Amino acid sequence: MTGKPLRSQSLNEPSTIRCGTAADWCLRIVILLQCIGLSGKYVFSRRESESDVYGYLFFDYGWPEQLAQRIDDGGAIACLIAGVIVMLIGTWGWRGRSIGRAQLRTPVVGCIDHVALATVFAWFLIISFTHMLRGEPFASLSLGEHAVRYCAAAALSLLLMHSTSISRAGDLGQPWAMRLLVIASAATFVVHGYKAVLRYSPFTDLILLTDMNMTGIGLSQSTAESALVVIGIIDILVAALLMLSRCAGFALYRSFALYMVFWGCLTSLSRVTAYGWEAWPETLIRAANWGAPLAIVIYDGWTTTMNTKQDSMG
Amino acid sequence: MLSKFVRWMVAILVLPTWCGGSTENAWADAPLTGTSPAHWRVTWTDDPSTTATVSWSTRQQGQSHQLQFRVQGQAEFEGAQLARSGRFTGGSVELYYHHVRLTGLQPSTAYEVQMTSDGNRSPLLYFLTAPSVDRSFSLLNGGDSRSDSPTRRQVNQMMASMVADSFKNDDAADDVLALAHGGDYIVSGTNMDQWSAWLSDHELTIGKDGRMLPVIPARGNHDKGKPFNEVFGFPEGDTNYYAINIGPQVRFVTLNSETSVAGDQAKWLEQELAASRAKNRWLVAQYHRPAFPAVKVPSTALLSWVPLFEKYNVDLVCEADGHNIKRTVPIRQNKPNETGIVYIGEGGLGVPQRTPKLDRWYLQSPGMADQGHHVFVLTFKEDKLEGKCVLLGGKIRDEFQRAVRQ
Repeated sequence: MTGKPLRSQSLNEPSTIRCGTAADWCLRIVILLQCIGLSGKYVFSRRESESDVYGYLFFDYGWPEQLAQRIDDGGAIACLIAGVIVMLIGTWGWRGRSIGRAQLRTPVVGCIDHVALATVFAWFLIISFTHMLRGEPFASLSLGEHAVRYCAAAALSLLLMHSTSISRAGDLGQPWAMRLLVIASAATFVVHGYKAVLRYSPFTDLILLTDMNMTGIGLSQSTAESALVVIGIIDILVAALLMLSRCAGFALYRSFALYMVFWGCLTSLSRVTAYGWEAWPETLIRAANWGAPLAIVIYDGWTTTMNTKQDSMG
Repeated sequence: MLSKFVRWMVAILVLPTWCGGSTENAWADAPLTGTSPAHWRVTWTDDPSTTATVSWSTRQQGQSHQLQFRVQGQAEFEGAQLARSGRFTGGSVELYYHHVRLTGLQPSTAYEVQMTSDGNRSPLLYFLTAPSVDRSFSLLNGGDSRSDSPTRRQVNQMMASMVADSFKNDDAADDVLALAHGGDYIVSGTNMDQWSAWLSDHELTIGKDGRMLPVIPARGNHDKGKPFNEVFGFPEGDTNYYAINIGPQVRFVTLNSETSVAGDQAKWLEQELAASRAKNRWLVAQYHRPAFPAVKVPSTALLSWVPLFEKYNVDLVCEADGHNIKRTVPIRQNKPNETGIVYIGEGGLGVPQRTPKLDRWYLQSPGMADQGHHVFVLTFKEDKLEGKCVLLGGKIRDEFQRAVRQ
């Protein structure tokens, strides 16, 4: 694998802030979408049901059903409110300032932003954790499988802290936010890949039902399962290559991240193509599957491009 | 920290099992030791008028495991059959299964069986084979016995009483022949401690006279992994969907909602329904994840199986998983329709009960939904299929009828 170094050590401050701003925007949109999906899945849609938080509290811990229900609904609604707040703060910052909100955020708004992001992070993490403790197939892998969901909020929070540190201290090191997104994206793809290699039957049905609804080719189960094995191997390879190439500083890793954007988007949409429009919450709740790698591409891609321009100008 | 937490959780789950001493059956409470046969059970996955799988477990591997059997009333055993044995897969628990598949049995006949492992004998138990003639009978149906052991034991005892009572009168229609279990026996399907507790509790379905209640098992979402097949005597890697005739006019189809629903299974289902509809007065299906749930989201059965149920006019569908009681209105093409399919069940054999979402259109009157530990009794008659939902304690919560399709 060849490629030029990811970026030089001397980024100039405005370019980093702009890259951060674009990635910031991407993550805010993703967080809002997944919060809408979450609240749709567990509270508002016609097919709303309960999350594993409810199941854990009620079945495994013996809490009163109504209390478990309220906590479950409350968490989803809190996430929706937090997602909207995150988006509104992003919108306010974007429209109000042309360089970067980091310098211009008031402490109060910044604090609200972080609290909202912490809410989203915590609730998605709790849902993943409670799912892990329950008895469904592959449940033990859910922290990895859902890593992008809770890490999107954590990464944005880190990005904001980092932006603040840039303005105050001039720290131009590679943001931890992006490292977190890379690890989370890789974890999600590895777990999905592993399940696909083992021919996880709901994945098989996604292919077969999408075929039934959209293309009418008449794929057989064995064909779908063979495709799944290939898909799974690619998922795992791409995740590994993303990690390795980014650690090594090769620009080629952006191609892997772009593949993740494409594939994450396609698999999120497959919920609707397989189950129909009523499955929209399942698609939205997976927004980070494509959103997290997209944020990586935007952040690093833009930084590198601007850096190259500035190098040539200099 | 995590392992400590998990240990606490396990303790919380298992403690009620140890404390469930309110039940009186010494069999179920007896600890598994050495090669003493335990966990006695009968499974129906093939023609139950001539075939049955008799199974038991031992704590130690042992050397020799066999089943002696005879028609009830005969002085001598017809023969002894060696068991197919192996160690249960599932963590560090050492437990061994033994299965004997009896074939060539006589229909409507009580068979006495005695399990022997290294000279240790089980009590003399018996089970009844299914009829080969067209007669009325009843089945029990329920699901979800996974996480409330004290209640599970009570429901099992209630079922044993119901079975015993059903044979006390001359009315053949109420004779309960088997239990169709819709899945989710335990919380974690790879945990043999939990399976062992379930199997011990299952002994409470055995009547005081030693009558065993055959199980027609479906796999639930919690029954992941290999132990399910090992518990019920399926071959390793079996897909767990099958159909049996109970009598010549009742076709009972068990589906597996935990494997691909849209693939080979849907093709098999279509072939099965096409072949069996014309030959049977009653066509009933069971599986775990509901297509018309009272609390959850619809499973993919809604897209892949429901159109087939409607195409071939299945008479009744039994679902589980939701932990409540439900009976839908007759449904066809996602609308109420008198000619449609009624979906019952949702699971209450020993699991905390959820509050159903009563605003769902298919639960409106004449459908119903409620919560409560329960089992359904399905009575197949010549002119109608009668169903009732019996709550723990014996109160009847719901009754319904389905007429023979023309």
